Amino acid sequence: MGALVRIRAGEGELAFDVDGAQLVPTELGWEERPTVVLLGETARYRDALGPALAGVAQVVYLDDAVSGDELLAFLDALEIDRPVLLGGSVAVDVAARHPGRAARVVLVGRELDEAAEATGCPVLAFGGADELRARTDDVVAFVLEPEP
Amino acid sequence: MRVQVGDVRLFFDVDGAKLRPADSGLEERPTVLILHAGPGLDHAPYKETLGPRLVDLAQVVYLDQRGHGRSDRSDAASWNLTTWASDVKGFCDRLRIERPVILGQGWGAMIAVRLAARWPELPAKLVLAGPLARIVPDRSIAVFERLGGAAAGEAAFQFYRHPSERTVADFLRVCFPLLGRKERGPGTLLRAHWNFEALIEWQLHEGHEVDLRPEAAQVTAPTLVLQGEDDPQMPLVGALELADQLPDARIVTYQHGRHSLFHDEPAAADEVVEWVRS
Repeated sequence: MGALVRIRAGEGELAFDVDGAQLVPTELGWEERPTVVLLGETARYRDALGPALAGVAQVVYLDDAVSGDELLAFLDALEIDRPVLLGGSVAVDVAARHPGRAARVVLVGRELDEAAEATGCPVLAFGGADELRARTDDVVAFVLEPEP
Repeated sequence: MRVQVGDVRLFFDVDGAKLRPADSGLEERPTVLILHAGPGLDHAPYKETLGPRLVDLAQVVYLDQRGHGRSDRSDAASWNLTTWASDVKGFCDRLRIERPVILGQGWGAMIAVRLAARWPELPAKLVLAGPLARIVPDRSIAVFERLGGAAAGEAAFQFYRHPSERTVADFLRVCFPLLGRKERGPGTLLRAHWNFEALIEWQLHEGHEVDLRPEAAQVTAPTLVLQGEDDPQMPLVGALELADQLPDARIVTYQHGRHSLFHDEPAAADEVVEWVRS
């Protein structure tokens, strides 16, 4: 939000930005959309992937380098339940150590494939950020897949 | 999402990124924080009309007040303007929302005035849609009667003078449709998480005592006042007596406009867009 939230478990405060509403009106009620947390150098996703995801999900850009514990504290502080985590080792670490905490993982870095299998949740893996950026439609479809 | 602010967890939703790619890197956009009408309502109506108009130029933050919507209910003893205003200040501090444009409608505008008087440096600008300095029941009852006939006048009289579940129900049935001049689908009523107890408490207590005129004079933020000339709940004369006290106000009124300004008057949303942009 050009804004920061205080994370007690971390070193201080984490900057984050949000695009896309969590609750979107339908004719008589609400559609509750999934939350996708983008980790790492998220600026590179702001031109295409982020806006595409914001059309179907609530996108949280978390730029600062975080540990798994800091990410969990961040999710807890904002009551973000079962997000889709998009990132590398931290995303895999949180999903593997806390089964059920993440709904899915979009993995950036194939060298983590083996660790990703241990998460027990659906994983979509890319070799790197460039490959990910080139396959926006696949990421959007993955986020929208029904729970297994 | 919800976040801890003091003794409560407050629900908020966000649409539109704060940072957008521009020619020279990332460009920071203004934040518009919407304080919903009420008491008893939540942020829901603003997702239909005003919010979608603003996301192209700003980050829009929708907040459910304590006791409202998906925020903690807390307890009736803390349902008052000072606490609600302090919660908004605490919310902005907690999320490092700096110099937002704060937009309040009706009762939300009253919260915005208390907030801006107490923390003049917080808002970059204000928008007050259908605001009041104080509630004068006879003024509202007269407009309800003019718009909806004797039955509406009577329902409004009972609602203002004898607030209870029964009189609120009659008010919603007879008077609520008069708050807008264009028909709204049932979704508007169904999407909101209502808290009628908060409305009754307000009518019984603070709603009849508060007078924001001295505080309005302490507001330093440039303020846009939008007012329907036929608003029965927040009548024109009451909005003007508030606006008269504001040191730096632009006042725009809408002939035949009522309380549901952003639903009925597309020009009102245009005005907000220009105010945020300028």
